[in-house]
Amino acid sequence: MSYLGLSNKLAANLAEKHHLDEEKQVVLAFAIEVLVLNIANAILTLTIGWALGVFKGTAVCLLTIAAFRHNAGGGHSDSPWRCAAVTMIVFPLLAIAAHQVSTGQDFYLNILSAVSILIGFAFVWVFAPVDNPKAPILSPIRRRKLKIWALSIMGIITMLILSLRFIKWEMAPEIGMCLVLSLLWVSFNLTPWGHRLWFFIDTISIR
Amino acid sequence: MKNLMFRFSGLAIVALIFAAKVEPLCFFFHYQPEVPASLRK
Repeated sequence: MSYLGLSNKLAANLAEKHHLDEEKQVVLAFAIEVLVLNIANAILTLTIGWALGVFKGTAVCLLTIAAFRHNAGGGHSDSPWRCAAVTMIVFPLLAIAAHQVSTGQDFYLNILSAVSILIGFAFVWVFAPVDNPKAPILSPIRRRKLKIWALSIMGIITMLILSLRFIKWEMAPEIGMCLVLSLLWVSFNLTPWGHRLWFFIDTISIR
Repeated sequence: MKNLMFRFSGLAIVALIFAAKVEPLCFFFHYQPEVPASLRK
Protein backbone atom coordinates (compact mmCIF):
# COMPACT_ATOMS: atom_id res chain seq x y z
CA MET A 1 0.00 0.00 0.00
CA SER A 2 1.49 3.33 -1.00
CA TYR A 3 0.22 6.30 0.93
CA LEU A 4 1.63 9.76 1.51
CA GLY A 5 4.47 10.04 4.03
CA LEU A 6 2.26 12.12 6.33
CA SER A 7 -0.47 9.44 6.44
CA ASN A 8 2.03 6.64 7.07
CA LYS A 9 3.89 8.54 9.79
CA LEU A 10 0.75 9.64 11.62
CA ALA A 11 -0.76 6.14 11.43
CA ALA A 12 2.49 4.55 12.67
CA ASN A 13 2.67 7.02 15.54
CA LEU A 14 -0.94 6.40 16.62
CA ALA A 15 -0.59 2.63 16.17
CA GLU A 16 2.50 2.57 18.38
CA LYS A 17 0.81 4.58 21.14
CA HIS A 18 -2.32 2.44 21.11
CA HIS A 19 -0.63 -0.92 20.37
CA LEU A 20 -2.56 -1.54 17.14
CA ASP A 21 -1.72 -4.45 14.85
CA GLU A 22 -0.34 -3.96 11.32
CA GLU A 23 -3.71 -4.40 9.60
CA LYS A 24 -5.35 -1.67 11.71
CA GLN A 25 -2.36 0.60 11.05
CA VAL A 26 -2.86 0.23 7.27
CA VAL A 27 -6.60 1.00 7.63
CA LEU A 28 -5.72 4.03 9.73
CA ALA A 29 -3.20 5.27 7.13
CA PHE A 30 -5.86 4.86 4.43
CA ALA A 31 -8.51 6.74 6.46
CA ILE A 32 -6.07 9.57 7.27
CA GLU A 33 -5.09 9.79 3.58
CA VAL A 34 -8.72 10.03 2.39
CA LEU A 35 -9.57 12.59 5.08
CA VAL A 36 -6.50 14.78 4.57
CA LEU A 37 -6.70 14.77 0.76
CA ASN A 38 -10.43 15.49 0.67
CA ILE A 39 -10.22 18.33 3.23
CA ALA A 40 -7.14 19.87 1.57
CA ASN A 41 -8.69 19.62 -1.91
CA ALA A 42 -11.99 21.12 -0.72
CA ILE A 43 -10.28 24.04 1.06
CA LEU A 44 -7.97 24.82 -1.87
CA THR A 45 -10.76 24.53 -4.46
CA LEU A 46 -13.15 26.74 -2.46
CA THR A 47 -10.36 29.28 -1.89
CA ILE A 48 -9.73 29.51 -5.64
CA GLY A 49 -13.49 29.76 -6.24
CA TRP A 50 -13.67 32.57 -3.68
CA ALA A 51 -10.69 34.38 -5.25
CA LEU A 52 -12.38 34.17 -8.65
CA GLY A 53 -15.68 35.46 -7.25
CA VAL A 54 -17.58 32.18 -7.69
CA PHE A 55 -17.46 30.75 -4.18
CA LYS A 56 -21.15 29.73 -4.05
CA GLY A 57 -21.06 28.16 -7.50
CA THR A 58 -17.87 26.24 -6.68
CA ALA A 59 -19.46 24.99 -3.44
CA VAL A 60 -22.56 23.80 -5.36
CA CYS A 61 -20.38 22.00 -7.94
CA LEU A 62 -18.39 20.37 -5.12
CA LEU A 63 -21.52 19.15 -3.34
CA THR A 64 -23.11 17.83 -6.55
CA ILE A 65 -19.99 15.95 -7.60
CA ALA A 66 -19.46 14.69 -4.02
CA ALA A 67 -22.95 13.21 -3.96
CA PHE A 68 -22.33 11.41 -7.23
CA ARG A 69 -18.76 10.19 -7.11
CA HIS A 70 -19.30 8.57 -3.74
CA ASN A 71 -21.78 6.13 -5.32
CA ALA A 72 -21.15 6.24 -9.06
CA GLY A 73 -17.32 6.28 -9.00
CA GLY A 74 -15.60 7.20 -12.27
CA GLY A 75 -12.22 8.02 -13.74
CA HIS A 76 -9.40 8.71 -11.32
CA SER A 77 -5.86 10.01 -11.51
CA ASP A 78 -2.96 7.90 -10.27
CA SER A 79 -1.48 10.90 -8.50
CA PRO A 80 -2.98 12.94 -5.63
CA TRP A 81 -1.13 16.02 -6.90
CA ARG A 82 -2.57 15.80 -10.42
CA CYS A 83 -6.01 15.18 -8.88
CA ALA A 84 -5.62 18.30 -6.71
CA ALA A 85 -4.49 20.39 -9.69
CA VAL A 86 -7.38 19.26 -11.91
CA THR A 87 -9.93 19.66 -9.09
CA MET A 88 -8.72 23.19 -8.34
CA ILE A 89 -9.01 24.09 -12.03
CA VAL A 90 -12.18 22.25 -13.04
CA PHE A 91 -14.57 23.10 -10.19
CA PRO A 92 -14.14 26.90 -10.26
CA LEU A 93 -14.18 26.72 -14.09
CA LEU A 94 -17.52 24.91 -13.97
CA ALA A 95 -18.82 27.64 -11.64
CA ILE A 96 -17.56 30.42 -13.94
CA ALA A 97 -19.07 28.67 -16.98
CA ALA A 98 -22.38 28.27 -15.09
CA HIS A 99 -22.35 31.99 -14.26
CA GLN A 100 -21.82 32.87 -17.94
CA VAL A 101 -24.32 30.35 -19.31
CA SER A 102 -27.02 31.35 -16.80
CA THR A 103 -27.36 34.76 -18.47
CA GLY A 104 -28.62 33.06 -21.66
CA GLN A 105 -32.20 32.76 -22.84
CA ASP A 106 -34.57 30.52 -20.89
CA PHE A 107 -35.21 28.37 -23.96
CA TYR A 108 -31.53 27.38 -24.25
CA LEU A 109 -31.18 26.88 -20.49
CA ASN A 110 -34.17 24.51 -20.59
CA ILE A 111 -32.64 22.57 -23.50
CA LEU A 112 -29.28 22.32 -21.72
CA SER A 113 -30.99 21.19 -18.51
CA ALA A 114 -32.99 18.52 -20.35
CA VAL A 115 -29.92 17.26 -22.25
CA SER A 116 -27.82 17.01 -19.07
CA ILE A 117 -30.60 15.13 -17.24
CA LEU A 118 -30.98 12.66 -20.14
CA ILE A 119 -27.21 12.14 -20.41
CA GLY A 120 -26.93 11.82 -16.62
CA PHE A 121 -29.61 9.13 -16.37
CA ALA A 122 -28.32 7.25 -19.43
CA PHE A 123 -24.67 7.18 -18.32
CA VAL A 124 -25.48 6.33 -14.70
CA TRP A 125 -27.78 3.54 -15.92
CA VAL A 126 -25.15 2.12 -18.30
CA PHE A 127 -21.85 2.68 -16.46
CA ALA A 128 -22.35 3.24 -12.70
CA PRO A 129 -20.85 2.16 -10.41
CA VAL A 130 -17.41 2.47 -12.00
CA ASP A 131 -14.71 0.97 -9.78
CA ASN A 132 -10.96 0.84 -10.27
CA PRO A 133 -8.16 -1.60 -9.41
CA LYS A 134 -7.31 0.37 -6.25
CA ALA A 135 -10.89 0.13 -4.96
CA PRO A 136 -12.61 -2.83 -6.58
CA ILE A 137 -16.29 -3.52 -5.90
CA LEU A 138 -16.31 -7.24 -5.13
CA SER A 139 -19.91 -7.94 -4.17
CA PRO A 140 -22.67 -7.92 -6.81
CA ILE A 141 -25.15 -6.88 -4.08
CA ARG A 142 -23.00 -3.86 -3.19
CA ARG A 143 -22.69 -3.05 -6.90
CA ARG A 144 -26.48 -3.09 -7.26
CA LYS A 145 -26.92 -0.95 -4.11
CA LEU A 146 -24.44 1.64 -5.41
CA LYS A 147 -26.27 1.78 -8.75
CA ILE A 148 -29.61 2.33 -6.98
CA TRP A 149 -28.03 5.07 -4.84
CA ALA A 150 -26.51 6.73 -7.92
CA LEU A 151 -29.88 6.66 -9.73
CA SER A 152 -31.63 8.02 -6.61
CA ILE A 153 -29.17 10.90 -6.39
CA MET A 154 -29.70 11.49 -10.10
CA GLY A 155 -33.45 11.73 -9.35
CA ILE A 156 -32.89 14.23 -6.52
CA ILE A 157 -30.61 16.39 -8.70
CA THR A 158 -33.16 16.25 -11.52
CA MET A 159 -35.86 17.55 -9.16
CA LEU A 160 -33.52 20.30 -7.94
CA ILE A 161 -32.68 21.35 -11.52
CA LEU A 162 -36.38 21.42 -12.47
CA SER A 163 -37.34 23.33 -9.30
CA LEU A 164 -34.63 25.91 -9.95
CA ARG A 165 -36.01 26.44 -13.48
CA PHE A 166 -39.41 27.42 -12.03
CA ILE A 167 -38.73 29.36 -8.81
CA LYS A 168 -38.25 33.13 -8.79
CA TRP A 169 -34.86 33.67 -7.15
CA GLU A 170 -32.07 35.71 -8.67
CA MET A 171 -29.44 32.99 -7.98
CA ALA A 172 -31.66 30.16 -9.30
CA PRO A 173 -30.40 30.12 -12.94
CA GLU A 174 -26.73 30.19 -11.87
CA ILE A 175 -27.13 27.48 -9.21
CA GLY A 176 -29.20 25.44 -11.68
CA MET A 177 -26.46 25.68 -14.31
CA CYS A 178 -23.86 24.66 -11.70
CA LEU A 179 -25.90 21.49 -11.16
CA VAL A 180 -26.28 20.96 -14.92
CA LEU A 181 -22.57 21.37 -15.73
CA SER A 182 -21.48 19.30 -12.72
CA LEU A 183 -23.83 16.56 -13.91
CA LEU A 184 -22.22 16.62 -17.35
CA TRP A 185 -18.70 16.47 -15.83
CA VAL A 186 -19.64 13.54 -13.58
CA SER A 187 -21.35 11.72 -16.47
CA PHE A 188 -18.29 12.22 -18.68
CA ASN A 189 -16.09 10.76 -15.94
CA LEU A 190 -18.12 7.56 -15.97
CA THR A 191 -17.41 6.88 -19.63
CA PRO A 192 -14.37 5.26 -21.30
CA TRP A 193 -13.58 8.74 -22.74
CA GLY A 194 -13.38 10.09 -19.19
CA HIS A 195 -10.97 7.32 -18.28
CA ARG A 196 -8.88 8.13 -21.36
CA LEU A 197 -8.72 11.78 -20.29
CA TRP A 198 -7.39 10.76 -16.86
CA PHE A 199 -4.92 8.37 -18.50
CA PHE A 200 -3.72 11.28 -20.64
CA ILE A 201 -3.48 13.59 -17.59
CA ASP A 202 -1.42 10.93 -15.82
CA THR A 203 1.07 10.87 -18.70
CA ILE A 204 1.78 14.61 -18.35
CA SER A 205 5.10 14.89 -16.56
CA ILE A 206 5.38 17.44 -13.75
CA ARG A 207 8.93 18.67 -13.16
CA MET B 1 -2.92 16.50 29.74
CA LYS B 2 -1.07 13.52 28.26
CA ASN B 3 -3.88 11.23 29.39
CA LEU B 4 -6.43 13.51 27.71
CA MET B 5 -4.46 13.54 24.45
CA PHE B 6 -4.12 9.75 24.61
CA ARG B 7 -7.88 9.37 25.03
CA PHE B 8 -8.60 11.87 22.27
CA SER B 9 -6.27 10.10 19.83
CA GLY B 10 -7.95 6.80 20.76
CA LEU B 11 -11.34 8.28 19.90
CA ALA B 12 -9.92 9.66 16.64
CA ILE B 13 -8.61 6.18 15.74
CA VAL B 14 -12.01 4.59 16.40
CA ALA B 15 -13.76 7.27 14.32
CA LEU B 16 -11.31 6.98 11.41
CA ILE B 17 -11.40 3.17 11.28
CA PHE B 18 -15.21 3.25 11.53
CA ALA B 19 -15.46 5.78 8.66
CA ALA B 20 -13.10 3.75 6.47
CA LYS B 21 -15.04 0.54 7.15
CA VAL B 22 -18.43 2.11 6.40
CA GLU B 23 -17.40 3.44 3.00
CA PRO B 24 -13.98 2.77 1.53
CA LEU B 25 -14.68 4.50 -1.82
CA CYS B 26 -13.22 7.94 -2.31
CA PHE B 27 -15.44 10.81 -1.32
CA PHE B 28 -15.52 13.25 -4.14
CA PHE B 29 -12.26 14.04 -5.81
CA HIS B 30 -10.33 12.45 -8.62
CA TYR B 31 -7.84 10.34 -6.72
CA GLN B 32 -8.55 7.04 -5.03
CA PRO B 33 -6.05 5.86 -2.42
CA GLU B 34 -5.58 2.09 -2.49
CA VAL B 35 -8.21 0.44 -0.32
CA PRO B 36 -6.69 -2.05 2.17
CA ALA B 37 -7.61 -5.69 1.42
CA SER B 38 -9.55 -5.99 4.69
CA LEU B 39 -11.93 -3.17 3.66
CA ARG B 40 -12.71 -4.40 0.15
CA LYS B 41 -16.29 -5.53 -0.24
